[in-house]
Amino acid sequence: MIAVSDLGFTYPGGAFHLTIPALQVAQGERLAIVGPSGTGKTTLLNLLSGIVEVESGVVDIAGSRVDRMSATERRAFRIRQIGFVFQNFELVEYLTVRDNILYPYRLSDVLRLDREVRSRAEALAGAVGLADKLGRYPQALSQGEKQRVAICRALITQPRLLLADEATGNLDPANKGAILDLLFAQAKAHDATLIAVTHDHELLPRFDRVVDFLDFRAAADA
Amino acid sequence: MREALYLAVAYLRFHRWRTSVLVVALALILSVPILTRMVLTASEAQLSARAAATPLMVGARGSALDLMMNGLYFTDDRPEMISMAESERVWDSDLAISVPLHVLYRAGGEPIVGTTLDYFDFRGLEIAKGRGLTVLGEAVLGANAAARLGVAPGETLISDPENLFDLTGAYPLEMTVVGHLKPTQTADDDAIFVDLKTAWVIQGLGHGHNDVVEEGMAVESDAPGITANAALTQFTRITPRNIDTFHFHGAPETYPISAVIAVPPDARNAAILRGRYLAADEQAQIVVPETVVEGLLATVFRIGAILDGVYLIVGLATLLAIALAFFLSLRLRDAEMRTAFHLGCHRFTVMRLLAAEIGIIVIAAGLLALTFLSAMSVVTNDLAIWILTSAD
Amino acid sequence: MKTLLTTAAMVLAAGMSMAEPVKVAVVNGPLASFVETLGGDGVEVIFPAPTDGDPAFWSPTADDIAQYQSADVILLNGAGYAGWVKNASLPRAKLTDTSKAFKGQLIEIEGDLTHSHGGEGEHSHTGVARTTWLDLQFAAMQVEATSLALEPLLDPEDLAAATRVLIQELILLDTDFAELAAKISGPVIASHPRYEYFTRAYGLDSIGLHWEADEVPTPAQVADLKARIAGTNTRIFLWEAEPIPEAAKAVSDLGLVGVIFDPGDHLTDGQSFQELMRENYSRLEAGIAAS
Repeated sequence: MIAVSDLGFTYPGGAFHLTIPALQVAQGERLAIVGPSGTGKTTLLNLLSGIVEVESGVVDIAGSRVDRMSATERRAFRIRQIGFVFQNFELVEYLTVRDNILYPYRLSDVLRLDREVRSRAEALAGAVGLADKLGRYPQALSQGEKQRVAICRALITQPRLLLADEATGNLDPANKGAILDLLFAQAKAHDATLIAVTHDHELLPRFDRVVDFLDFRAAADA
Repeated sequence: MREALYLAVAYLRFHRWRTSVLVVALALILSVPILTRMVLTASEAQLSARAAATPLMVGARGSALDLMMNGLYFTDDRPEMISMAESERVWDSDLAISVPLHVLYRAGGEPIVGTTLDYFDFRGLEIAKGRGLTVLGEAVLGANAAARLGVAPGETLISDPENLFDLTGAYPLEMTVVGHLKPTQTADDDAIFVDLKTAWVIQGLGHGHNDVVEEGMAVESDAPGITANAALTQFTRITPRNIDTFHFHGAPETYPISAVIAVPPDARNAAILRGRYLAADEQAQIVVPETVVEGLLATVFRIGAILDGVYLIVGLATLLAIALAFFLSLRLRDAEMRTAFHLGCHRFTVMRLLAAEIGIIVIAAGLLALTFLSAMSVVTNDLAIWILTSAD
Repeated sequence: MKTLLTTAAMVLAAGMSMAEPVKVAVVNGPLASFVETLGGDGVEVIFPAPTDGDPAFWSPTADDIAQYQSADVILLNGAGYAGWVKNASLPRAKLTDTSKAFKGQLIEIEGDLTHSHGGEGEHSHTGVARTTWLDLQFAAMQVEATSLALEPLLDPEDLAAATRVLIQELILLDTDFAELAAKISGPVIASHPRYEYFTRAYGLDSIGLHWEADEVPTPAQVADLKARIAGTNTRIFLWEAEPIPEAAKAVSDLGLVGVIFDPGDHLTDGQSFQELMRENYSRLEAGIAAS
């Protein structure tokens, strides 16, 4: 259960102010966020995950008040509770597919890399069809494969909240469907809430709910 | 830290060429100054030890340094020759043992040192293989000379032709190698030792009465038909058949030598002996190699100090360059750092990762430098001797 | 020279235990005898020349030379004796030329090697007579040189005493030979050119031959000798060794008295130089009496 209320954020320079009066997402819900560029969709994901500090308002994720956390606490919270599929995959070039998937464990002091995690990584890779590419480096992968690695990395920590920023943006139509299937399947398998920012309107019917950022804008203006 | 090391290794391995260049560059910065110091120290030790082991040297008036370098390291610095009478003079003074040296010719590029058997006793040279000198025409090789020339006891060695236009017509001498010396880590390892009289034969001062089989172009005198090889210049060969006919004309005291090593039993005798070479019309000089070396060492120290300064500056510049390269590579890794942050890594994680990378590079460079230096340490002494003897 | 050799020998002999005899290499019998007389049990004489040849013209092998090199002291006769020495490598610090003291008094003889090299023109090798010790004063000087060479390595008092005794014996022999020689009328005949120093020392004229004691002299040799003794009152013929009967007869047939005068290049086992000279003296004395 995610509850956001009276969330406000001003971009540096004050050119743009984001305001979200209220947004609630049920556990396990698949939410799509749409809206024109520059309306603050990515910013919302950054605020939810604690990448960006909350200025005002409340961000409550399954009882954890992200808005009250220090920077260090937000980092620890993020790495444990949130899986994030970034817009440009953000894979590490010098790590193999396997190590990219395990990357959060390699970075974190709080997560422990053990045999179970390793077999989970292999299972995840198998599930997305990368079983035979675990030893490859990102430069040798196609766009779709890279995206699948990014999804595996987001899922490896078994997060309760899965954030996807244009996860299908760079893909051809066939791949888009497949990746979305994968996200849905994995979110379901792990009982994770999925919040996905997307421009692909043809995919929207498959989500449980769609939030249009223009509505927030209207609400704020009102 | 283990995970940081894992990532560091993965990064360095992925950029293996960049890493190798860094490691080698750092290893060189570390080892070259140390190596230079090692060689300088070895040279200094060589010079001091050899000079200290050679109490006095008598030679022609002129450069004391040439005299010493020629007499101690058998270099091409050729002092004016003196006569054998100078050696007898030392003997007759009853103040020192006299060891004459004749360093003028080479064979296979290695110096031929004509001397008496007293030299072997004086320097404590021991035979490793074969036997010592017994008669005219025999040669004993220092350990390095033996290795380089590859001439085993029983085989022969021909002295290098001194000068194609040598009008005295002295032919190169074919010498029989009879023994190899044990290594001493001194210039003696690079020398070919012959009896003084053999050196005089090379110089054309002594000769035998013999037929063309022994002296001339014959290369296969054992063959039934004597084969002359036109490709070979003429050379003299001393055989058991002609050795008794070998003789020297004129008084032996007039024969040339390059120097005399005088070994007085004590400082008092040394002082008295030195006093005898002070006359204004004296043709010979007596030098204390240790004193000559002191002057040389002062120069070596100065060069060493300058080199240290140069290395310090070059080293700092290189470190700056490496630091810059590292900084630039950090900029290239901006995206990776951002990802790490996005995923929620602790802020020290990135620093730990960089520290691990620097640590690995520094340790690898250190190990490489250590390996290089320990490999070089085996040859430092030879290198020092080479530097000393090839300084022209 | 001596203090130096003391040091040199000390240095070079370092490591040698006192119990071991001093190794002294020599080139002929007289020097071997001198060393044994002076050093007794304290010395070991190295003299590898074969007994059936003349050590003056012997060519040692490399092993022989190595034996010389290994000695603590090497005694040379000088005067061109043992020509191999000039082409061998011997440690100068251990070498003693026992005839150095009378170098200026050596007897020059005509050599037989005449040759020319390139532009140097013809020259001949003149040599010096080698059997120096047959002048017993020279022999005494060689003993002196031997004693000095041994001095650093032996008990000095024993050595000095032995040296004194030996030199006295030799001087006595010298006086005796001088007196005996005065009784000889006319030149002595030398079967070999070995007696140059002997005849000069004791005021004798000589007729030099090349007769071998173990060969029958040819009629030409006999005729030559006969012609050379004609008109002289020569009676004494010196043999180096016991002649074969035919040779002895050829000499006695000419009315000459054969006397064996062994120069002693090789001494028979156990016999000392002074004993041999004493024997030579007796034989010469008997020969003079018989003439």
